[in-house]
Amino acid sequence: MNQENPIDRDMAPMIRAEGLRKEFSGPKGEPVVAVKNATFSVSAGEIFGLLGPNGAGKTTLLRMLATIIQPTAGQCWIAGHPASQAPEQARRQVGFLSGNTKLYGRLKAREMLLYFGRLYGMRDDAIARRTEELAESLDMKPFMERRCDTLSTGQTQKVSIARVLLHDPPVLILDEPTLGLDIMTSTAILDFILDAKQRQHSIIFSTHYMTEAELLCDRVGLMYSGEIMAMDTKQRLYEETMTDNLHDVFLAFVHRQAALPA
Amino acid sequence: MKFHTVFVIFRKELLDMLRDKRTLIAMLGIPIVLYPALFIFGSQAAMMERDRVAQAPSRVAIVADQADILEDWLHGEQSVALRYPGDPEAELAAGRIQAVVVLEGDLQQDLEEGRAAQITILYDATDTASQEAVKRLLEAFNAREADLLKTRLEDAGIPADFVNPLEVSRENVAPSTRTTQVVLGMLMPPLMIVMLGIGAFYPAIDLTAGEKERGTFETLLSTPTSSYEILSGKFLTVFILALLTGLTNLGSMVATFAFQLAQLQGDMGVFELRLPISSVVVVILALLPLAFFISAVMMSIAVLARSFREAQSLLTPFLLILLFPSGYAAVPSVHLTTSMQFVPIANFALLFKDLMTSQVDPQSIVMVLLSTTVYACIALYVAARIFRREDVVLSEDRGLPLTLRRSFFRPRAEPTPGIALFIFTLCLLLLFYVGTYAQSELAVWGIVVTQWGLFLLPTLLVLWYVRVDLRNALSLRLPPAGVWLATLVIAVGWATLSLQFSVWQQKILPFPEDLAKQMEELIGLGNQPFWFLILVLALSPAICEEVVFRGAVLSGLRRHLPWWALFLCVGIAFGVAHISIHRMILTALSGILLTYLVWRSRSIFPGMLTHFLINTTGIVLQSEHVPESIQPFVDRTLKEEQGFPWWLIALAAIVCTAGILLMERFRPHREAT
Repeated sequence: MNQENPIDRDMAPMIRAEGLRKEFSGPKGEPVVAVKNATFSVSAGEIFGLLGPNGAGKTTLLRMLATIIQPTAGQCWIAGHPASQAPEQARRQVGFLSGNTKLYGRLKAREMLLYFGRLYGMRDDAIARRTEELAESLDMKPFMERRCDTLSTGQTQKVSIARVLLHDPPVLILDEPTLGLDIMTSTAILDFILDAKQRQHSIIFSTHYMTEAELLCDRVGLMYSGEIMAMDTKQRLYEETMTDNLHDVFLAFVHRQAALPA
Repeated sequence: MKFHTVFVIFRKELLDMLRDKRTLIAMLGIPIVLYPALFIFGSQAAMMERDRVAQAPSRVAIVADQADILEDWLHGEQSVALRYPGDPEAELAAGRIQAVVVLEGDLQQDLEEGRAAQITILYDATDTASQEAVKRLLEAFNAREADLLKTRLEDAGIPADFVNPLEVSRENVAPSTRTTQVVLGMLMPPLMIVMLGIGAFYPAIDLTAGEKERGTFETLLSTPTSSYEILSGKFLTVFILALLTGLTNLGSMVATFAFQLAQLQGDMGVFELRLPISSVVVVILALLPLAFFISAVMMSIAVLARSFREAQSLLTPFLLILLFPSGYAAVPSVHLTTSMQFVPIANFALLFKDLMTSQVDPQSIVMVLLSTTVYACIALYVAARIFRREDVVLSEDRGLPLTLRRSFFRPRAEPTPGIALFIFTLCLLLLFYVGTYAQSELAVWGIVVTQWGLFLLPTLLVLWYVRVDLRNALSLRLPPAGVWLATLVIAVGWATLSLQFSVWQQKILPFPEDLAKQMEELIGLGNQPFWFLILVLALSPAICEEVVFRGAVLSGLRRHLPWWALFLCVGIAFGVAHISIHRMILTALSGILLTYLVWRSRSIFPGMLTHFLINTTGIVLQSEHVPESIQPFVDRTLKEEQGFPWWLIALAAIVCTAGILLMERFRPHREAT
């Protein structure tokens, strides 16, 4: 599944972004900058958290990394593949989950996984084996033969997570994976993320929940108005802002940013 | 593009769509249930109403001074019941009686004195029972009139045949199948076209705007599939479902119609359903590009919408627009003419209609299939272009129109295949709708207008608008001297060979005499000086047609096709642009050679020179400028169609080959340019 990975996971970052910028057209055709000059990298076995308020540009940044949209400027590499030049190879290395990656309602959960496995070029027997593993570990067996439009929110999110992990990608890009879920499902998903880290996956995820970030992240990037204001390990951010939690870190940086001359 | 991925997407989309009730209703519900219901129950209801009216006597009132005479006449009629209302006209309007007989003047006196009595029947044309009453009254009065006439003639001693000097009768000689075919030819195309549209309607929306609305597009885009693979898989689904809907409808209509015929046969005996198998094959063949075209247009419209509902409101007008050309084709006097072959939708409807009733020229069938395929490819190209725009495909809150602003196009060295196809189609349409008219009205000046105004100008404008580098796209480079020499040698050889080809072609596919006469008149326009004819008929095409075909079309395709396919495509496109099938083959062959020259020399000028020399040769040989010493040879070989002697053909072939070898020797290499 990951034979195309041209680099050694231990040697180079699995996600590398350099000067990523994205502009959209505003209502009158004027350029609106959603992400400015984002530069960072994520290594194998590392969880990188992206924190920021609504509209900060987190989803746009993650969409660029997942090659769903093209950057206006800058470049990113996924497992060594340049996303702009070789988007399909880059996508093979990625599992992408966001609020916009929904399921096909008229397909059963098992059919959904079969379809996506085939799109990733997996053989049917490998898909069946992997589906059984995921159904077991995510406790999905009771609803595998049900159509996705009849599943609850938590069940839907589990199928989505299974879809993301099906081809065992070395890079996981998760945009608010626990949004709107009950505590049991959230916990299951957070456990899964930690397990993926143990298996040397590189994970970048965005969240509004600071407690999740504190629990999971090795490093954190704080986004505000399309810019990554700060990026470091949690400990260093606490030290720099003389606080002891990410909530206060975030507010400190926002105030600092607001105090800067325009 | 990975066909396995396309197939995976197609299979999933088909499964997804077949689980959608709306698709099933359009594809199976309407044809299988609705037609039989409409046709059979509709006709049953009509028959019941007809029986009810036939069995009930017509209630009729009489308004006359001498009503007793009329009453006597009508008393014997079982189907007429006389009534005596106070206000007969009000009763008629209220539907309580079905007719009023008004007698003006003195009936008794008029009859006795040999005059015509005036009887008027008032009735309500909107009421079936009233119409039946009029029919019965007319039958009764006609029978009475015949008796009265017979009496009068006997009284006057005149034989009965005196008032019938001509015995005219009519007999329908049309075979019973023909009547059926005429009816089918008029009714079925609009239904078929609309059914293809309905078949494509929901899948096109569901797989584009619907997917966008449900938020599954992004899931699909996160997989290692290209936008072309996604589009192809989705398009194939829409196309197959549209086609299946069309064919299910066709089958159901034919079955229902046949069932009805079996019921009616005893009554009428004029309908019989029998279609030639060749017509059925052509109709099904024509359905393929038509379904292709309708599906691609619907997909490109639907993808612009942000929601299912918005897509419905965008596509419904298109569905209605489909009705206009197909409805126009149902007009009895309209047939498949040359210009109608290129009108999308209408061409299929007319082809269907003409196939049902008469033999259709194979050239027309080819043109309808070809033009519909070209339109379908353009529609698919537009859909693919829209599909590649992330702002449209991923828009969640607003649909964006397809931007045609010049700034949207990025500067490019050469046109894309889509742009090349667009230019070719544009020139072809302009030629048909403006060029043929201009040439018929302005004679030789019409050719000037066609070449410079309809070929060169639009091509340059389109290339400029889409920001293509003209110098590169049109191969505006001066070739080395050796290439000029090779070109001259090839041109001399090919000019001779092409004359021989025209003689051979004349034997296999003779040029129609009236067309030949028109051409001769045009070329031999006595009022125009020879140099002017050379400018118009040789130089203009050499410049303008080369810019279109060896410039825009060739540069748009050259990186996307292997050399042999490139030569064939550009050559055939050049042949098709000469409209007539009689000129198509020879011009296509010349087109292939000209494509080779430009492709190899990386310059358009050898193409222009050869084109100019071929045309000039033709004009000179038709003119009075042929040297007297070779005139008998020209007359014998070309005008009397005996052809060149074999040694001359062999020599021309050797010269041509030598020219090609020279070209291979002197052609510029990529580094040099």
